[in-house]
Amino acid sequence: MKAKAKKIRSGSKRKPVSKEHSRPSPNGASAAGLRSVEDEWLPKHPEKLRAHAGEYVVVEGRRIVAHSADAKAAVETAKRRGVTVTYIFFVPPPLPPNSYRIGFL
Amino acid sequence: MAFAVTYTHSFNYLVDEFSGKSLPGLRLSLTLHGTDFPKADIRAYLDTGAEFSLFDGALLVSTLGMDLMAGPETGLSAASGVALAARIHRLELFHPDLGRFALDAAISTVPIRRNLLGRDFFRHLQMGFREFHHTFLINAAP
Repeated sequence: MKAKAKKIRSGSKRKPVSKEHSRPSPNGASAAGLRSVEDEWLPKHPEKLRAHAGEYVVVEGRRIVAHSADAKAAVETAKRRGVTVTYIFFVPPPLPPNSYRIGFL
Repeated sequence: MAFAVTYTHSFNYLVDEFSGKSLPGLRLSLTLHGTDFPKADIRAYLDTGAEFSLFDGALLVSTLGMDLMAGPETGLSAASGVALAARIHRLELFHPDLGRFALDAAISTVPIRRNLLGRDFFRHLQMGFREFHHTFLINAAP
């Protein structure tokens, strides 16, 4: 009996959908969006950001590629390292114990 | 009288890496209106108390190479009493699920810690919060 070979159509090279993008979160909310790889990785590794409190960081994949208190310096470093679209944000220092946020500014 | 709103998207709050606390926000791609490049990917937090969206000038000047001071000047005042100057620029925000938005947003002339999406952004959407679940819901239509 001839084994049935699965036909792979060479003409239909579809870009694979990222698992990070399509996976639903435990509470049913969408995990889709920009930079979901970075934003899934970062909360699991808070120690990576701890050293950069008070600085801007540029994150690419599962790596901090640049950091500086000066946003311009961080962006320039990231560009030198080959990053074309920077995912950049400020790392606020942690709040003191028993402190809460009321408003963003 | 009851009202029913159908939301098409649900998002988790963004997690603060230090405290583990989560805040309602989106990751967005941003560029100057009318240009395709350069771009920056940023985090911006939903602030129902903000009349205008406000972005960190230090961050945008560095990433977009914009002439910040070329925009019209505006003053902003927070409930805490903090006042800061900003310049208005038309930005284009893109989210893969929600689409593209053009906003005349305020860009701070001093560094700020968080980018804020204000009521000028909310005008484009309907939004609901499920604070208990740390999620928010969006219908991408006014």
